[in-house]
Amino acid sequence: MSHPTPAATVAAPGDRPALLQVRDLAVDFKVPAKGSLRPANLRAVAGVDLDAYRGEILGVVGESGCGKSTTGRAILQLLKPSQGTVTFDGVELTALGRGRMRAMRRRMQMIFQDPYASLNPRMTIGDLIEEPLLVHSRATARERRAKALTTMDLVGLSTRWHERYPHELSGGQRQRVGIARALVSDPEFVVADEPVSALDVSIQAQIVNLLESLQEELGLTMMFIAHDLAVVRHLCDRIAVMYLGTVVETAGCEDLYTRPRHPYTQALLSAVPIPDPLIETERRRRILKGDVPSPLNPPTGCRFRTRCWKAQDICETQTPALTSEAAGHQVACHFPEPPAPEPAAPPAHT
Amino acid sequence: MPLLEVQDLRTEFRAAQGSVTAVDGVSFSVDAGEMVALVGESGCGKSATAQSIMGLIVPPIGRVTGGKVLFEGRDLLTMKPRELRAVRGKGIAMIFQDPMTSLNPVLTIGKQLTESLRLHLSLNGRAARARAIELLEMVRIPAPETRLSSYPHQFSGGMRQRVMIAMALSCRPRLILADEITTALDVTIQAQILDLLRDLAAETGTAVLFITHDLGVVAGMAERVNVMYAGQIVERATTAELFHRPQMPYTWGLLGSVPRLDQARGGKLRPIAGQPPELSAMPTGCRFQPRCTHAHDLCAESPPALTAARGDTGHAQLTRCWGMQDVPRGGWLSLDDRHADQPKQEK
Repeated sequence: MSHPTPAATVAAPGDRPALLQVRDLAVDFKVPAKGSLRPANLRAVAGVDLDAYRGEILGVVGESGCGKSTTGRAILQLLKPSQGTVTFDGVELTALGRGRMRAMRRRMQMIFQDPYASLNPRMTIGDLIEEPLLVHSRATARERRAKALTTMDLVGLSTRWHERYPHELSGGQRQRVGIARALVSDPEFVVADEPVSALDVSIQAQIVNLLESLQEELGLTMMFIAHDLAVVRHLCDRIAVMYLGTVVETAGCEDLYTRPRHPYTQALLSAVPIPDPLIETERRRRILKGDVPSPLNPPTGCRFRTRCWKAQDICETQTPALTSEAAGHQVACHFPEPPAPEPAAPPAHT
Repeated sequence: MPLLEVQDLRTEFRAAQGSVTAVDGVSFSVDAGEMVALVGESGCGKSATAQSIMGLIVPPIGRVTGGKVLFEGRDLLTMKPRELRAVRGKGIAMIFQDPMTSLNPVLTIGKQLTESLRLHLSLNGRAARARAIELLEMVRIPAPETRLSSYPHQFSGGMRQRVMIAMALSCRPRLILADEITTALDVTIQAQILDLLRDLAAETGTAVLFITHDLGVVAGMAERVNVMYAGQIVERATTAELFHRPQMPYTWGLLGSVPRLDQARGGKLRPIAGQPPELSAMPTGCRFQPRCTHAHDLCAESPPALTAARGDTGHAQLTRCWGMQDVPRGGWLSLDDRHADQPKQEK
């Protein structure tokens, strides 16, 4: 395996303990191979290192197929990792048996992208929200109902909807049900997998604000997976950028957006349209050549090199490791942009 | 004379209880060589408008029940199917959101590209093939000769959308309807496709009606913008005006809902409360009024028209809002109100 050595753990911002530590995580899928009966191996996540500190929102961004959702699922052990470790609050999850893992799951929950597909159409909203409690607690029916009603209130769903069915709700309300299901068991850690991507902008903003205030109110640690870089910047404290199954850059939010060091991050940021015609027409974009290569046959060395304008011979032969020169800012590139000058100037705004 | 002039277009769809009006009195125009945007959220009727223009609304499911669609002065809605076929392709071409479902999976790219060339331009096999190669080159697909014999599934999403653009341009149309063409694509690929469409439209002088839900994309593409809400156009302006002095509270809401990469972080987003109305249960008066934080009694009583705002002369900007109009009991809004707009956080 040509995986780079795991980067040294970076000092936690503000010395908070890392609630979640992911090291060298890999996930493989078997896919039908062309011209052979034996399935081919598709490595969707190829050696990912991540830390989520208590009480922060960690953003994971990247384009479709970069392995961000797979990473989220593998962290919750919804997919079996083929390599690496996931440590949650000191417990190594990949080694846990089924029963112990189920007990852990009460503390780590998931919010799914598609509020249409993730709710059973034959269950009432109340039952849907109570369901996790059947698995995770020994509460009585009366206690469950009371908890469901408080949670509905928490996520801004009118308790009148209790006896209704998912099809009677709009997309935004359904997503609130999804959030309530994740929060009803009082988890400490939540993976939100593209929770706003399927929603219209006006509704999207409602849900983003809701997640933001819930995180503050409940002190949640959250992993927010998304492809919308503007939403991620708005919501997250730290960000990991993924490309073709690997993390290419992690940094604090403002640091990443003001000083992206990896060429892919730069291209990604420059591709985001800005709703202002003056800026849009003045802007010089970095438009990448070609498409993301197939994970069945990833490029040797740096996986981004086939689309990179900086690529040289070394990029083909050596995989760059995720290393950090500046505190809290890691980048996996042979020719990164120089880090921010050390006596860091105060942020441009307050 | 504008290239395309849509006048008071109405399109209805059959629904469980009677019919619903998806497009309700929409009027706008596109000049030759111009790029005009139609923006709005899902269900606002922007795609139904495009389909009505192209004659793709099929009875009995849907029906265009009123209005005119003048293309170069001739009404497409009253044309015979034969005449309409002559306009499609050479006059107006359409690019759809999902390139996989708009390409035939069992035919090669070459076959599908040459089909319209042979039909509309009556080219023979060899000439059509040569033109197809030229078109694939134009949309920057590498090795076009060999790519002609590939099937759609062998192309990536971005490449398929390039093929769709090549197909749309194949008969040198004067107008392209581009319906959410980058919605299914990743941002870096979206940037490629928008760049390509912008270049090609400028090069060939083709007008584009650009339909999207993304205001960011509009800012970089269109010269004029029509904002749609619940089946109607609620604001029309040049792109510069729309972004710098939006007049309709709905547009304020749209702009306030999206976080922006170029602005300082912090502060909550300002979402629009509630959700768009059901087509079968339109509010009386202004259709945005139940969600509007600036609404007065007048808004619920009668529907406003799309007109110039109070004292707004010398601009081509129109808005459908009583608060902006110089009528008795109207005109209580000013442009400054959009910054004071801080709707209560939805519980």
